[in-house]
Amino acid sequence: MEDQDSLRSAFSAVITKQIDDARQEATESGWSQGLWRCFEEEGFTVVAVPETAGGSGGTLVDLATMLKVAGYHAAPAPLAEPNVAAWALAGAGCDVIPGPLAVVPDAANHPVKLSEVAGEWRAAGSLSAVPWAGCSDSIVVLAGDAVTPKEHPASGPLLGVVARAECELTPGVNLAGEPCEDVRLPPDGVEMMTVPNGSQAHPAAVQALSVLTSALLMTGSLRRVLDLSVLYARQREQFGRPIDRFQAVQQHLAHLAGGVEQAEAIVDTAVVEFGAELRGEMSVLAAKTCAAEVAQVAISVGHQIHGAIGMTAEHELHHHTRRLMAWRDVYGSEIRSGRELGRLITQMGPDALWELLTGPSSLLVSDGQV
Amino acid sequence: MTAAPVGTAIRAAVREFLRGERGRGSFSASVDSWVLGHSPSFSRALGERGWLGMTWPKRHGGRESSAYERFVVIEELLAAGAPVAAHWIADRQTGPLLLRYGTEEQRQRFLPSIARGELFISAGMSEPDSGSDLASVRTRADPVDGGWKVTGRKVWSSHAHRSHYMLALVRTSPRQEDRHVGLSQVFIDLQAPGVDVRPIEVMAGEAHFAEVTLDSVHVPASMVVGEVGNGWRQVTSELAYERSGPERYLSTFVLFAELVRLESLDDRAVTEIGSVAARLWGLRALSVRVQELIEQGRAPDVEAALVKDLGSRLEGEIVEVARRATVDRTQGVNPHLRRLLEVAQLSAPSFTLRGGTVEILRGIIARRLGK
Ligand SMILES: Cc1cc2nc3c(=O)[nH]c(=O)nc-3n(C[C@H](O)[C@H](O)[C@H](O)COP(=O)(O)OP(=O)(O)OC[C@H]3O[C@@H](n4cnc5c(N)ncnc54)[C@H](O)[C@@H]3O)c2cc1C
Repeated sequence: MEDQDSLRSAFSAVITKQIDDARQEATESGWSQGLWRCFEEEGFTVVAVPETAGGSGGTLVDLATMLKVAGYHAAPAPLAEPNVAAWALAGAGCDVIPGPLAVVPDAANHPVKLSEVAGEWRAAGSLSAVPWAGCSDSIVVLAGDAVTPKEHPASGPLLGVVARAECELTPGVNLAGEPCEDVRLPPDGVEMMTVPNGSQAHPAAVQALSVLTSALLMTGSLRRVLDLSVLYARQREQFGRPIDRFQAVQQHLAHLAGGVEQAEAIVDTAVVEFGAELRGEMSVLAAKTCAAEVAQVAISVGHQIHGAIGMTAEHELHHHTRRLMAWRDVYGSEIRSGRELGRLITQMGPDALWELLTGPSSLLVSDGQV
Repeated sequence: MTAAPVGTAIRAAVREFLRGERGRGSFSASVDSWVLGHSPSFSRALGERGWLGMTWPKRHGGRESSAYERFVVIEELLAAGAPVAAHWIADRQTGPLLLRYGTEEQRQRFLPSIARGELFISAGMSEPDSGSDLASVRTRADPVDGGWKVTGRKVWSSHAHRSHYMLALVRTSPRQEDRHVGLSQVFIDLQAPGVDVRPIEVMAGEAHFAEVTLDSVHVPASMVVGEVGNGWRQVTSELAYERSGPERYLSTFVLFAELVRLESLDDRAVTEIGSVAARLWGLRALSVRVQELIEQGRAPDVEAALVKDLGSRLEGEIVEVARRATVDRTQGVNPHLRRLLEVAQLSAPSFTLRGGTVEILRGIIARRLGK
């Protein structure tokens, strides 16, 4: 707990110091290279990777804390993807690669073809809307048996690394204006290595972690939108009094506050469950679903409270609301996560559902809180 | 409805015109086109066809058409996502306001050029410290020889940087017990000395509204609209025009239409589309009813506020429905739909703010119910 508090304030201080310059830089190019360099120098891009593999030797709980902080400040540089990519590489027994990394957790969600030539797997085709692809040096791609031919599947999950310079990119940005490009892989494909079964470098695990990172970023951002709204409602006067005296405004703030607390609670639960390999996947689906649903509340309440000024480019609010719009969509929306969770639950039945809600993580959360 | 046959002919004419314009590539459909689609040449083209100032007297450049005919024209333009922003305010509210309160000289001076699509006017109500509480405006007009000297700051004035005049709500006598007393409406020539117009960039990247700083701007007495001191009553009637139209539920109709066109929509999307369509239908029927009341010379304030409250939330919901239906699809969603959705997502938060927030509108509605 204390560790997380000091990590939170230390990382927050790092970002706060640079945020103005970083935003300025991002206005021009979509992201801040300066902030990225700082992340990399400090080892913030390889948090949950053992030192022996070139990482910082931290935990997923550390990473979770940092992602919330990054979300809170709407830090305009990649943090989630490089960390997920490094985590996957380490799981596959590879050393960390320098430079911003992008990651495609599961090639099954993209128009990619896998084929085997002389015992070697290669991936060819395209990857659609890859976050930060345009500013990455390399892209880590994972694939499972869903994309290898049924007649002769690969003996385990596959992982490949392709240099961005070898790919053809179609320019694109997400709703927050951050780089997010379609990527055409090199014509002769990308070499894919087979990862030992049971390793964390499994598409399902990397997908789940990616989904979790989007929920964590949202959680930080949701908290910031709530803070901004509460503060603004206290300061803004209309009809001779602060607008937070009006019940309609109070209702909005209370609605948002409830959502933010609830999203934080389930996201924290998911971090613990994912790290402890309990029912990681289901809690991650629940986390994404909740956070993304509350994102809609935050976008609408945040702007409603702020009135016209919140719509301007000069105001801080849109750095958060536009990222919430982007993060709720990435790695599958809350529609997909909700449907997947619903499917799993209906397969399990009511007893297992109750077990799920009351299971071991409910004990873990209090001391593993992030 | 007796107006229907008349409406049918003009509807066909507008559709024909839009087909032609689209064919010539004069515009591409946009969401929120009455705010985002600023095209003076398109406005002039509408003026040439007599589709601006339609209901106004012929001697003022109008066609003396019915309110219903005008309704048909604007709903067709909005549903097509046509760029109507340049003339929107002048045609919707400033013209009618002049007919009601303006001098004959002002009518002659402004109305024919508005109806030709040549004169654009922006609305100068809000100030940095006066949004919902409009009566608290501080921009001051002091009497001087031959007119007024105006000093203050107006914000969020849509397209002020592309308009010729701004109709501003100003204080012409010091604030008294009743804050609604002592307000007036004046035309500010946006080229006049002392006027500084600064476009404000919004989060979607555009600058469709502006801040207008007025530093001892001389305004001739002839540019005061209506009675000095009667500004509150006038601006309230201006707001009624501002709130009652179909733009309050059609801002995202082009997106909805594009969504409906999509192949292999899942069950959830189809159900949501049905639900939205049902409410849109009901809302349009209600909106037509409001037009009829206006036509009969009544002032359906509550109904207009209801349409805006329901409508501005529904046009936002359309954005969410379109997002949910397409977000996880990697194939079969064309770039045009994606682009419309993006712009709609970034504009949507303003739907329930502009023209009076939903909180304020609901207050108006609730206070009038049962009276
Ligand atoms: C896209 C856009 C275009 C615009 N164009 C123009 C224009 O052309 N000309 C012009 O003059 N203005 C324009 N406006 C300004 C618009 O009229 C104001 O945004 C609106 O009146 C609200 O004022 P505000 O933004 O200052 O919010 P505030 O009045 O500060 O309100 C902030 C929040 O407090 C709530 N609130 C305030 N008072 C109360 C109360 N008594 N009870 C309950 N809740 C309350 C509001 O509902 C809102 O949620 C535009 C705005 C937008 C977004």
